[in-house]
Amino acid sequence: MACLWPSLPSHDKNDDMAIAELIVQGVGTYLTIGLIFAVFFAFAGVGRVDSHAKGATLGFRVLIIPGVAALWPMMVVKWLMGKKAS
Amino acid sequence: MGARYEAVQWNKNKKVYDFFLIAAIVVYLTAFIISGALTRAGDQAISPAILLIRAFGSCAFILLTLILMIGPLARLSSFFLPILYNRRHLGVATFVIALIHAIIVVFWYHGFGELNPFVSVLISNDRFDSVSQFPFEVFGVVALTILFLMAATSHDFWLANLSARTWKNLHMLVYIAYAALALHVGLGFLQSEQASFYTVLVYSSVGTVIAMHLITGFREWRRDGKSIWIGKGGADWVYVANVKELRDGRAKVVGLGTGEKVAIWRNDNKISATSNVCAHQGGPLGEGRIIDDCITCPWHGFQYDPANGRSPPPYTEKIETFELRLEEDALFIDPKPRAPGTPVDPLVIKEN
Ligand code: FES
Repeated sequence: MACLWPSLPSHDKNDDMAIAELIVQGVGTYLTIGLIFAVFFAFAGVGRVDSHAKGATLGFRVLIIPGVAALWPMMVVKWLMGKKAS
Repeated sequence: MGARYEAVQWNKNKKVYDFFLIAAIVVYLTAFIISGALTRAGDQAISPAILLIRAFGSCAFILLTLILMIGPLARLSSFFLPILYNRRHLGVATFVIALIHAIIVVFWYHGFGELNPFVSVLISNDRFDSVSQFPFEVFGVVALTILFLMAATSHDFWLANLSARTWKNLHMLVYIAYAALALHVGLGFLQSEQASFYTVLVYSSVGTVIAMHLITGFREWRRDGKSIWIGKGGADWVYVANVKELRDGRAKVVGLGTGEKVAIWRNDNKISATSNVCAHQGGPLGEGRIIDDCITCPWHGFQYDPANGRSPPPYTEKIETFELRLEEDALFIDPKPRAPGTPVDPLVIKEN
């Protein structure tokens, strides 16, 4: 990304496209990893992070998937630490 | 929460609320689309996709305006409390409507070329140096991202796991989302053929939201100024109200001058005092009502027994309670709070 910045002022359409593609790919990759993790987390890990989620309903598990997919780095850390919420 | 998580803790009130919410949205969209199709016939006709984009877009803007108005409105009049009750679902509905708007935009304007539609969204307009041509879509993306984060983290699981502070800060972004949405809609109209009327409408909505917040903020500031001053060393018993001014099923909120507020409740012929702060997300309990003998928070409906400040089982939330004393009609409070969940016998008054 950094190497693309110097060419911004000249406003080259190809560079704009390259940056746009990079952003879309970056966000897409982040969310895809997040989604895969979120499914595992919702069905296997959430009970370790929060005791109230043990035996939680299917609806609850599905409902947290979008949020976990977006904030997955935070939830990975929590899962690894096995931190319990009261 | 004290119980196992569920997707939604349904109760009858929430179902009625959601029914009216969905019905209102359907009526609005239908009316918008039918009137748009009828008034724009012949040369003036616009495609069904554009009509849908405008219907969903304007609906999301109205809903977010409503969300930001109901807090102050409910403070000005208890008439608006029922709308405040399930604001969480209103927020999720706003995100869903905004998302549908965005999906139609992406596919209608960017879905038929060779480029990836999302790349096309990013590069199709680069007039960042112009107001009249500014790529207003950017503001829409910002607003939609915030609405998504708020909707996705609206379950209590997130409140418990993100920490109350992070959660609250995240949800305060709603004001940024609203500013971005106002710019998105305002600039969008400015660049369309309907400039003046709708632009004025959008900015007067924003002005009303700001004015409502200022008015209620000022009222609250004045009310806090009238709180009972118990001083640093505290006081034993302080006068809080004449018992006759308490309305059945409601509270009188009194500031203790220490930043703490107490809600004095009347439930039939019993009087109790509790903290005014809900254990869920700090909602103003005293602006709620007593339903089924329980104090019911106006924000999301958490309930507490006025006699001990505890949520009815299986929930385990607790709030502070206070001792009261009655002399003739004068009600006095011991301003030192009892630990959350401590039972305090309600005062029983004679029926008038
Ligand atoms: S703040 Fe959510 S129920 Fe009170």
